[in-house]
Amino acid sequence: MSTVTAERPTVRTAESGGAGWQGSSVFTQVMVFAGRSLRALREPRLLIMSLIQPFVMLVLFSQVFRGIANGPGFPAGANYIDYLMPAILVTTSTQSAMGAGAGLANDLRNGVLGRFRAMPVRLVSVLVGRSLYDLVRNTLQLGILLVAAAALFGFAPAGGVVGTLCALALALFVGWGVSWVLIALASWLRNVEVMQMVGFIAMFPLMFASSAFVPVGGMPEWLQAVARVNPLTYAVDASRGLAFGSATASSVVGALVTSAALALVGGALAARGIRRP
Amino acid sequence: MSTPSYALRDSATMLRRNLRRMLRYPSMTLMLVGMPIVFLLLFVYVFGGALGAGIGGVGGGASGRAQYVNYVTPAILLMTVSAAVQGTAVSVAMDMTEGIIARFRTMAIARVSVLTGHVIGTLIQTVFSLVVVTGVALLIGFRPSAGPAGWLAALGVLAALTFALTWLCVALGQTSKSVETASNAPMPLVLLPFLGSGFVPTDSMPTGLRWFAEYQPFTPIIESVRALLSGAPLGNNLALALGWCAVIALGGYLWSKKLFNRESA
Repeated sequence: MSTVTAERPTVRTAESGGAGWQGSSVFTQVMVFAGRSLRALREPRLLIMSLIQPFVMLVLFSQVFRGIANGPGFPAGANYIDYLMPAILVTTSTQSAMGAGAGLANDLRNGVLGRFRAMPVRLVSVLVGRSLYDLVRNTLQLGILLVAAAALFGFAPAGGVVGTLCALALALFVGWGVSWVLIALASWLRNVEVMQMVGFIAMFPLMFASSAFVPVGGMPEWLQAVARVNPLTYAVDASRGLAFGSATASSVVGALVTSAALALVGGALAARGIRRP
Repeated sequence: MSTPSYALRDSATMLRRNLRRMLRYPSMTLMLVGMPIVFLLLFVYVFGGALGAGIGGVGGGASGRAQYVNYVTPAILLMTVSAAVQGTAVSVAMDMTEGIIARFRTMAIARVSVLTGHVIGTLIQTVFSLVVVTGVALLIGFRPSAGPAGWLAALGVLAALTFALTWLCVALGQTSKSVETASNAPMPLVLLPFLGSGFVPTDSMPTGLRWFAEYQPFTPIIESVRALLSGAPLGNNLALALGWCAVIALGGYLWSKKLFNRESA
């Protein structure tokens, strides 16, 4: 009785990068994956849901807690809404980054990535596509918030439209940098619930133990010490400086460099994490 | 044995079931107690210095913070109640979606006992939560000037509110198609203290919001608890507070009963 052995054909994927690879360019792959994620925006309910929390915070702080402007250390002559809005942009942007991590963790859990592995695509393009989608969604979200703040609550900072757009761009870049850290975490943890918990536990203290809602000078000394080393304080101060037209180059460059470093480290870790079986 | 005594016995059994569930899954209780404590610490230490400056004409910083902890604690106690009843909506939704209610309906037990067990269980859990939150508030500088009668009266108002909101949440839990929906349904109850006199005096708000804040149900309840704990004059706040509690309790009870009977039809 003879034994028949069938040789398994070698599949050349983008990861192995063999000579037989005839697939599309990395740019095309990224665009396809970004487009796949962007289809979610066809359902406006998701965008509306993501706007509820920042809008509630905007209303609460600008209308109910506007007395904060009478507290110690508040900049003289500034409206609380002008002081608040750049912080809302940064905090909303970083909170959206949590969605990036949870979304990827969901993809990893429901087996979509397993299908992509069988295709001739670079897995890194899945991550970059996801990141681009989050950037687009974040831009829409923050744009709507800005329009609402200007139309409903009279947001009109000293830096004018240019300053506001610069503050928006900085907030988006900070959020994009943070999103890579959470994408990296998701690629290693692969658990939606854990990602949401990690995001909340990290974001809540970062958000409130910072200069986002009250001047650091009005806090107790022990909390001032925390706020002064909180990276979100630097991002908020830079964004606020741009909106007020009083930003220093060092504060803006510091925020940009930190965000870029987070994106690089997060990207490298994510690229390794996603290749794990 | 008479029908009321059967109903009482069945309610006690259902209460025991709910208390066992609370002990078996302490994470839910910890979360419901933890949220008001986090908000208490947040508002006293982060916002207290700034918001306290606008209360009672004191300066900002430490003096404002000391003043603000006395002002904000009644609102946090109310938030404790709101958080606890949120748990009721979740546990009722779990019962409704997991099929245990269908089993109870086949048994010879008083129908009302299933819901009553949830309500009394929540009352006990809320009293425990209120004690813990009050303890934390006292540790961080809450200094009420109320005597034993004032404390008991304040606890009575909070218990009446718990009873009312629990019946409302029992109904919300029954209307929810899933546990996730049930956890979000009572969210407005957590938000309402913010849009009242809970965290800042209503006269510091813009006109439209001030009007809403002055006439919404939580404002007289907060003002009653605040007055009872500080020994300040009550005015008509206590009557309004108890009136609102009665209306919400009756509405919630009738709605819950209607939903429960409709489900079993």
